[in-house]
Amino acid sequence: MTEQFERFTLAVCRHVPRATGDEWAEMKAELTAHLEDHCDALRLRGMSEEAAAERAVREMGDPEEIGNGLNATLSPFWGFILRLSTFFAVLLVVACILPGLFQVQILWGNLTARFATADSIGIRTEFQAIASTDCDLRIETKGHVVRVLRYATGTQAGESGVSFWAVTYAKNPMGEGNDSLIASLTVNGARHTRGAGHGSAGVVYSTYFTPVEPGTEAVTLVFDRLGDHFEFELPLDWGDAA
Amino acid sequence: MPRIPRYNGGAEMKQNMEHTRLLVLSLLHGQDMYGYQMITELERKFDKTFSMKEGTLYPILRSLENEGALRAYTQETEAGRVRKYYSLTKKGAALLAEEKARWRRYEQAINSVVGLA
Repeated sequence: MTEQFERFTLAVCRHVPRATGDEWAEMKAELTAHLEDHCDALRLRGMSEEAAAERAVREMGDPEEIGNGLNATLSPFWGFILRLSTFFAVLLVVACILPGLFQVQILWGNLTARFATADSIGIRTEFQAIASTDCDLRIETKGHVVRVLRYATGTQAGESGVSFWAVTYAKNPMGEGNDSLIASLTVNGARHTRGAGHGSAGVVYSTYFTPVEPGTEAVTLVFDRLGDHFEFELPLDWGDAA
Repeated sequence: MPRIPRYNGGAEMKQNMEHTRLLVLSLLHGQDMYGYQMITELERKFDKTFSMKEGTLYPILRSLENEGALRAYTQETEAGRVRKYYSLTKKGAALLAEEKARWRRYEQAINSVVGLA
């Protein structure tokens, strides 16, 4: 019974495009109450529920005619204004939400970077490690932090050398990362030859390879940028390759 | 037996709608009613000499409500069914008087042609 009434009211609804949600809900409730009243009356006269529902729907008439009639009682102007308002309301909500989502992404990236380990960086390179050393060397600039999480001896593209893995993020959890900071880290002051990385608005993960003679006992990791100068002595392990 | 045809804006439909408006206003004179009640009351009074597709009543009710001739309110039955009742406003009463006068003129015109006057 309810299904037949639902089908009928839906068929009417298709022809009432000017109605707002509330207006249509009111119309639908009234038509449904009519169908239910009629159905009850027919059942009191001994008709089966299904037959009564069918007849109640039939005697309502053409849903298109009813829908068109109802639509004609609604103002096209207010329908247009309503649609326009809905469009701008959605636009406003999207405009408010998108920057918020961006801020959440920054915050998430920043907080993740503070607790990241070398294994969680997940950068793929062709570097073949001989010996890796996990560490947590911290370089604090005015607004950012650079953490060196691992360095390793090994080879890349046939050259021996040292790679290090680092992450940088802003001290302010809502601040953006700076991808040029890790690039300012050098091994023995020499420019690295290969690098790779990834990141989001709040954080930058990178790895850099610098050629070093096999067997070199130690290198100095240097950070030198805009008056900030840090040096770290890194003992190297070459295993059998030395 | 007048029947309201498809909603096509034709003269016959317009005339039938005007007749139905008069009937609705007359029914609501002195008693508030909901849609299905009006249909059953029309059937009872006309003893099946008048029939209409029941759903076509609702555009007329909404139209009269928009004009300020009817005021609508809802009431819940003991069984929990919500019904929308319509009552005649002062404007509606004035409209009823106008519609009655128009009907009399129309009736007189028809009678004078068919020789019943």
